[in-house]
Amino acid sequence: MATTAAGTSIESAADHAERVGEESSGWYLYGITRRGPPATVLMEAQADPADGGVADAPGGAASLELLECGGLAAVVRRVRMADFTPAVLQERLRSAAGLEAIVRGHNRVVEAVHAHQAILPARFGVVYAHARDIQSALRSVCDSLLPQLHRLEGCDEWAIHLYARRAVVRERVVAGNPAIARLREEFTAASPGRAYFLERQLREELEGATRQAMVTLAQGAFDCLTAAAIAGQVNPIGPAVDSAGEVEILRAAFLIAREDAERFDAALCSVADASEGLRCECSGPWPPYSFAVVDTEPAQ
Amino acid sequence: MLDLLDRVIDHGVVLAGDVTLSVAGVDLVYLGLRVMLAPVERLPELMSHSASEERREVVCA
Repeated sequence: MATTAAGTSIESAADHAERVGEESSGWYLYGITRRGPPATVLMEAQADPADGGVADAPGGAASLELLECGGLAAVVRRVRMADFTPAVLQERLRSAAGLEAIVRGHNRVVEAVHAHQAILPARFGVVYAHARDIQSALRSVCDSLLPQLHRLEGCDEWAIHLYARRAVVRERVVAGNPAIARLREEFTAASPGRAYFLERQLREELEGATRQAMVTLAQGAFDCLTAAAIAGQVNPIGPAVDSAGEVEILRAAFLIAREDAERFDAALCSVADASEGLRCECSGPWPPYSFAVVDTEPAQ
Repeated sequence: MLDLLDRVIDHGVVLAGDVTLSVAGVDLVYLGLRVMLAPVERLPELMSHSASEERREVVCA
C-alpha cells in the first residue's frame, strides 16, 4: 500500500481488487485425500484446465490447491462466485453437452488423484465460502476419514447393470411352476367365457411369479458379486423400463481391490451365465464415489 | 455418461460448513460438522445415448 505525504495509507487499486476478489471467491471441492500427495499428482490433474469443468472460469481457471489439516488434504480450486450464480449455472447445465463437460471436469480431477493414491471423491457441484470452513470440517472428521481412506487404498469402483429378458424368465417360471403350468393348460382348453377369467388369473399369477423370479435373480447376482468384492451397494433403478422385452433388474456398485480384479471378472461371468435371458453390463474402474461416505448417523 | 452422472451427482463426500451454494436441482442436507451422504434427486437422464461409450457387456469365453 502506498503512503501519502501526510502518512495515511492508501490502498492501491491492485490491492483493492485482490481484496474484493477474495471476498467474492469461493472454494470448489473435488475430494479429500491424505496429506502430502506428490506435486506431480496436482500437475497432472490440472494439465488441461480449460476443460469446461464447473470450476473453470471463462477467463481461465485457478490452479488446484491443497488445503491441509491434520493428516488430510482437501483438493480444491479457488473459483469466482460470480460464475456460480443460479442463472449462470442453469445456463451452463441446460444443454446435454454442457452438463457432460462439467461433470467430466469434476471427475477428471478426482481420477487424477485416484490414479496415485486413495481419494474420497466429493459430491459434484459444492462450493465453500471460506477455506477455514473446509479446514475446520476436516479437523473434526480426521479420525474417521483417515481409516476410510486407508480402506480405499488400491481399490476401484465398478458399476454393474443386470438385464433380464422378461419372456425368457416368464417361460422358466411356467416350466418350474406346476400350478401355473396347469392353469395355462386349463386356459387353452377352456370355453370362451371361462377362458376370460382364467386368462386374468393366469396373467396375474404369472406376472407376480415373474417379478419374484427377477428379484431372486437380482439378489443371487448381488450376493455372488459382493462375495468377490470388498463391499457392494445396490442403487435404485427407478421405474422399470422395458426396452425391447428387456428390463434392468439390478444396478449396483462394487468396491474392488485392484489385485482382485480377475476374481471379480470371474464372478461377473458366472452372473451373466447364471440363467438364460440374463445380460450384464459393467463400467469402470471409477474412483470410489459410492464408498466415500463414513457416517450417516443423524445428528442428535 | 449415465454411470458417471450416477456417481458424481448421487454420491461423494459433502463436508458440512459454510457451503455457499449447490448446483441447481441438488438438495443437500447438513448434519453439523460431520461428513455424511445426502441422497439427492437424480438429474434427468440426458445422456442415455452415450451410456454405451463407458460400458462393456460381460461376455464369457
